[in-house]
Amino acid sequence: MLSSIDLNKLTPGFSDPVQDSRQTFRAVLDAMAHPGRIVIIDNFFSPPPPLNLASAAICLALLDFETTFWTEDLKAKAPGTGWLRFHCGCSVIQNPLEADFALITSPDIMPALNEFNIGNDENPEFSTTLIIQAGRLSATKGKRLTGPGIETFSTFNVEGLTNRFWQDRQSQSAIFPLGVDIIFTCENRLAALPRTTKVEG
Amino acid sequence: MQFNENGYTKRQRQQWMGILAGSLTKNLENSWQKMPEKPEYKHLHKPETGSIMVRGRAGGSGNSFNFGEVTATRCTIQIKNGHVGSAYVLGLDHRHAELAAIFDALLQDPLHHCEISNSVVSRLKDSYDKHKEEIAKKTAATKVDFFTMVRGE
Amino acid sequence: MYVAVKGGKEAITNAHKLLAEKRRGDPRVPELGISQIKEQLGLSVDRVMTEGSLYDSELAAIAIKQAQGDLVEAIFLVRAYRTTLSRFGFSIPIETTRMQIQRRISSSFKDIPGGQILGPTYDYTHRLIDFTLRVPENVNSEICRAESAEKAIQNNMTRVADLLANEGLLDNEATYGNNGPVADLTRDPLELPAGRDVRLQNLARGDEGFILSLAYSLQRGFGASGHPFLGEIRYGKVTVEFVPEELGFPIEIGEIPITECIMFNRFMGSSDTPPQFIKGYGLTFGHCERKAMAMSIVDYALSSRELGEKNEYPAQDEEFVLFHSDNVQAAGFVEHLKLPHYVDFQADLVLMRNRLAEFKNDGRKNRGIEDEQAI
Repeated sequence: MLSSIDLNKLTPGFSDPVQDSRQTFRAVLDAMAHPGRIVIIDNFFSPPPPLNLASAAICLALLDFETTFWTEDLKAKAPGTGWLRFHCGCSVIQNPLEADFALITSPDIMPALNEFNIGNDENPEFSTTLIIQAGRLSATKGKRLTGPGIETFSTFNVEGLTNRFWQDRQSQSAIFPLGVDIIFTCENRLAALPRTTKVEG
Repeated sequence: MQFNENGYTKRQRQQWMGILAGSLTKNLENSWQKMPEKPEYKHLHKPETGSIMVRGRAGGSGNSFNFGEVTATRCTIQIKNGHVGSAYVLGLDHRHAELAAIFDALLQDPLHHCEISNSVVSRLKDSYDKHKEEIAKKTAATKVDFFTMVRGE
Repeated sequence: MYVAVKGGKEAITNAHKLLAEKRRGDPRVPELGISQIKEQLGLSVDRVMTEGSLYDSELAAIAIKQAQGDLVEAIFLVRAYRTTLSRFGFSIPIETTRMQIQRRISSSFKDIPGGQILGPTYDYTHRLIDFTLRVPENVNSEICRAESAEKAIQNNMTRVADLLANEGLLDNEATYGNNGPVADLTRDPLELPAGRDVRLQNLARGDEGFILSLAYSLQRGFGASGHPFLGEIRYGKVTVEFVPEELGFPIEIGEIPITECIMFNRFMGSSDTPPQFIKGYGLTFGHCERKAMAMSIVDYALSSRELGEKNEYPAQDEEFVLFHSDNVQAAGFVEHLKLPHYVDFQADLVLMRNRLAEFKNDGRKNRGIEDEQAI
């Protein structure tokens, strides 16, 4: 167990835990079902830095005592980590390979995708779900996405990612159905890139 | 004994948290209603019901196993001067968890500690002890007194 | 072949309405309150909590009312509710020596430290229907008031088993291997061979009737072990302690009543294990004495692999026991036969018609030959 959390400086999470979790879950579901679609989290609270609202809401809705969590700043007393441990009760782990969920707040220096859990042949769903905080999310121009959940194709642009990230993502298509699912967040917006989506451009 | 800056030990806090969790909601509510000036507070974590898996030990003292779950409700509040109160209580009662968390915060506050400790916690403990004592006396009445029949001679 | 299975929506709605009316019964009779069930049908509540694997007397009482007293249905309801709860964590293992004792007896030793305490028991009752209970006023009379002793019973009673352990005549749990991560049937499917943690969790949730019959079978002769002896049964409240992630120290979250049973089983020893008594363990929520005893007998029977004993009786077969003990699974599997099987049965019907036709044909042929021979 990590050291105790400094509770005096914590801010509240969802004002209505049940309803807000359900709405957030629905938003993530929508985003995952329609890769590249930008979905808005219609909620307001003040998560501590470096968490943005969408990342914080996703964590509150999806993490609990039984999910393992990795993030770059593993110091137990880091405001974001302490906040998540308090609200979700999740265990923060050192090794991204064992994480159910990973939060990346500095995508320019993030680990390679194969440093996370890609699942195994029997249980591909055991893979890590990545929540990546991006500089900007837009659906106007950029990458061309095709695959399940997209009728013809959609366009999608994320700022702040390196070329290496996209190369990693490309090489994951060879190991399907293994691989990681990714949720990009920016302020109160999110978009998903599940492993089934083909990225071009 | 290690006192923190507010003048209570961890052991003392554990004790009062246990008493608050073990008390009836109506008793906590009574104490709350009787408070002349109710402190302002905000929720850091609204009352939420979940479960805790209770573990037992094989043979009573051996390796752990998962015995079965209990329902539990947690709540965390912060009173105006910054003290944070937490509660985890058995059952589904949101109000129980909320009141236990409020009193936990007040007990950590040197301004309120003595008052709450004397007027709330000690009373709750008394009624709890009295209840326990009653059961223990009724149970004692069912204790077998063996007498041995002397045979022969 | 196409068989319509849609439709019936209105019939289903009306059937549920009829059920609600049936559940309420004669409206001239006062409706049963949840607190009445909790207070006056406490042993039903205890069974539903134990086999529903969720301690909450309020929920169990509602489930019993909703199920019209069908306890297996009520257990199903509690199990379904359980799946909606997010889990805060695991408790520190309960310490049963610190129980507030309300009943504690041993049939192995007469004089035990702390004494034999009968508590609220049906033992020694005559099992005659008590017609005074028909008239509510009688129930409020002196008959339902317990006696109090001058001196309260002591708590923190040591275990009867310690008396044997001091002599080196009792297993020390080492037989079952070291303590790795604790398996959890609510998260991971049952896999064989099962460790003792899995077996105990399975039996604790298991159907009382099934486990009772298994224990009976072991005693009647479908079991290798000798006569088991009741080391100790105790009933009372224990404290549940839990370490919240954000506090980092244990806190008490409340008390729960439990029944614990330790059964002594004679083990004659093997090349590397000295002769000793092996403990069988039973644990339930609330007061479920019969279940706790049966569980402790079956727990021992299932340890034949670790003890290097032959596995020759049904109750020693962990696949047979562990895969059939759960009454929610069992009821689901048996009761699914009520669902439409029209298409499956049509297939069977065609098969059986053909077989019958073949049978008749073959018969005629056989008779034909006989007729020719007769000529």
